[in-house]
Amino acid sequence: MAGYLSIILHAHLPYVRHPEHERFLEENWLFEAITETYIPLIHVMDGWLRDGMESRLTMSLTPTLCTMLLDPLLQDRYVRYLDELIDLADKETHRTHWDNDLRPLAEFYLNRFFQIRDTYFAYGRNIVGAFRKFQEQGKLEIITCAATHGLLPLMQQNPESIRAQILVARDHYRSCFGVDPRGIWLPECAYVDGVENVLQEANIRWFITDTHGVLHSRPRPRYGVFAPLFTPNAIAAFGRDLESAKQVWSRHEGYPGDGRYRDFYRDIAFDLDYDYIKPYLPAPPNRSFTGIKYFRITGDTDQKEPYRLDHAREAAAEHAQHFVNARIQQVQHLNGIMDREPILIAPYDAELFGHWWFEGPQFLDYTIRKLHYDQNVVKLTTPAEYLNHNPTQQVAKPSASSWGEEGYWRVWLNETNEWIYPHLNVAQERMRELANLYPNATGLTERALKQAARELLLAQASDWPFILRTGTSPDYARRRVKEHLLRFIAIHEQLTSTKVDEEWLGRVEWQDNIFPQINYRYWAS
Amino acid sequence: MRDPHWLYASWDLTSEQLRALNAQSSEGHLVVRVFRNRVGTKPVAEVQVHPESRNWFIYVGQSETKFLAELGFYSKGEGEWTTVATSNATITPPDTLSDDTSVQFATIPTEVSFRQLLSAVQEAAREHVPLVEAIRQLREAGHTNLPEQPNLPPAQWTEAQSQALAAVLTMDQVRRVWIGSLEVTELIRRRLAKDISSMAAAQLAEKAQLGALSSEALSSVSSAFGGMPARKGFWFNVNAELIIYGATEPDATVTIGGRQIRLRQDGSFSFRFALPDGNFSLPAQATAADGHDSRSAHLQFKRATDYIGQVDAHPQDPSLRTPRPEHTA
Repeated sequence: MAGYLSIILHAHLPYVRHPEHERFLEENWLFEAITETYIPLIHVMDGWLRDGMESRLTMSLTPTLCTMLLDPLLQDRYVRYLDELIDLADKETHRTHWDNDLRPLAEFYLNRFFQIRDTYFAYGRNIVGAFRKFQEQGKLEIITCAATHGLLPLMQQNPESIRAQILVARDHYRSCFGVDPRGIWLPECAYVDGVENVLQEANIRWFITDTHGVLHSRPRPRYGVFAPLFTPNAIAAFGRDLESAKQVWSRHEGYPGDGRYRDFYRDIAFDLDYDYIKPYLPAPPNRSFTGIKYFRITGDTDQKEPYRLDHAREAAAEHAQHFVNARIQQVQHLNGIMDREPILIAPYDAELFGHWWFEGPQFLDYTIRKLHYDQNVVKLTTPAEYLNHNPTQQVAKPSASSWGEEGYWRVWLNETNEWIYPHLNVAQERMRELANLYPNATGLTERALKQAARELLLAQASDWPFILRTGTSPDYARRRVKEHLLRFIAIHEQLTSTKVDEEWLGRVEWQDNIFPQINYRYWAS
Repeated sequence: MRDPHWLYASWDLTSEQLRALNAQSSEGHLVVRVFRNRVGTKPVAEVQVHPESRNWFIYVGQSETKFLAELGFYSKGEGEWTTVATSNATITPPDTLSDDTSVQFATIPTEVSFRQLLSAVQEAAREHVPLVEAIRQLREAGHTNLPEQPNLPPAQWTEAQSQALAAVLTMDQVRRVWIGSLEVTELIRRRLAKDISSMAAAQLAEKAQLGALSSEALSSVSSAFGGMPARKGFWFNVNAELIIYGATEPDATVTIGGRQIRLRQDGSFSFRFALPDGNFSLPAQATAADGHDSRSAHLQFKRATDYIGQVDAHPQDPSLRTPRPEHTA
């Protein structure tokens, strides 16, 4: 064994739950992710378990995502979504009766959706429980993330808000997994000096930064990103390896651009007659993805060729081989230079595997199997396991950094979205005041304080400024920020100037029901 | 701070307050002055802000530096500076490798909780020192409660090793690997949800050449990772499908084309079949639930198409909306 590899998947979705509507377009983000990423990953991991492999993977499952996965309303809606998809796939198997290229694909999708449905029910509709099982078997390290994925460096003026994001997440993790989290995925890997103090309070032992977070540490890291650093308060910072990231992520050089892979855009929702597809659209007349896609990327052309399952599978196997070879070479080369075994940190968005890159889970499967069966140079590990075996590391202060475009906070703080922050700052200060004002609230007052905390957390989600920046669903994002801030302001006013309106509060609690046991005292100074 | 070279300043004033202050300013608006390390030195930047602004992005161009800012104005007449508010301090992050190549190692037992480590440290009256330093001091003082520090890395780390490692890590890369997280998802949705006319596409292509960020990301991706050229010129797609529909007893078994189909609760069914060019046959058979009676129909179809000009099958324009009733015959 010459070195280690730690593959880390970050699974996150913002909290989108609209009980007030029968259907809601943005709830589909969750359903697509379950169908295309989470359950396919569970299938692959079940295979490793069944085959008795020493696989090691790390996953962050954010509190908002876990909450949604465990929510009965969303679970019901997911089953409805899946049943409709099966219905559509069934129709497709008939509609493509005379098309020898497409009919096998239609049949493939129908079978696949049945399989996904079976798995979903086999796990009792509890995806979180499925991943928990892998952790309890020692094959998966599950780490936490901030409560609502707030960008912590932008809360520096209100350290209690940073504290609350972490501690609420820690509490939620405990309720999902029955143990304390050992590691954390900081939202967007955004780190700034001081965050590690809160992590220490939560007994979190490691986090990840982008490459320059470790590389630009003071003093300079002797081993670059190929070993973690200890912050002065003894928390390990692991830096991302560029090579393994580039091969998978890069729009131009990465594997997912191979012409044999399934094309993301050519969904039947856009190709077929409106009247046929309309019953399956969440928000007609807007067409949006069904997940049934018949064409492959082919190349830099408009004329897409039919997808070939066998060729795509070959591509995934080839790329897995390439990836493993590259890691072996990398580790051997580094081992030759360093006086210890290097560790490569390879973090990715979980959604890359399956949703974006349909064959991603297959690639992962081949990769893990090749690492396990075909070689012994690179050892798969998790950061916590690595630290247990390698507790001696260099001490340095990582640099403020993120993995967003350009490496700092520009994505979340620019002309499109900076209007949010002055409002958030005021709300954050007010929450601190409220927590200080009511150290021991009970009854209706406590309910109001807890709800104020929920509204603040939901307003702080970095997803909203992100969406405003990319201009995708800007109206939705803007609406969410405003609604949560307005609800917070109303509660604050009721608690400080007037009186808590119990009936109104009840409706708001029903609407924004995340973190039922939230501890508002985390915001006290 | 926003990144190694930019600051973000914001202030919370009401419109009336802003108006009142602007009125006192010789230039009719406020000014932000940025200082290094402490207020009162020569400002490193001074920006005039728009009269209605409550925030501003300020370029400072200096990494790893502590900055503070003052919001104020120059009074009418004397032109004296009046401070309205002073900001907190912020420090821009580094944008290069550190020059400090000193190295310190520590052994931290991860199975011991921080609470235990901290209480060991507290007992030894080292609580005001960073934990790693405290542990080191305790070790040196011969504390017995701490785990062994095995295999300290050798002090020798040669220049050759340093350079070899530096060659592996190409931080000279200007373009960082662009991750995307939710971003890539949303870019795709945006592209499909928006009405992109060919004119807008041309505008985007222009902007892409100017290097604008969002359009670079937007411009022609057929998958997250490939490129598709923007659609040019007039286009026309035509497809044909058959609808086979009918009904029988609700508990009958029906096959079409040899494949069993599902009936609705009332025994009716309808299915669409894509009809390409060619000759096709479609047998349809219904069998009673008791298996004793069955009927069948053997349908035959032919489609032949002549094309004039480029006509494709799909895709349709993603932004196509269903025609409104008043526009259809």
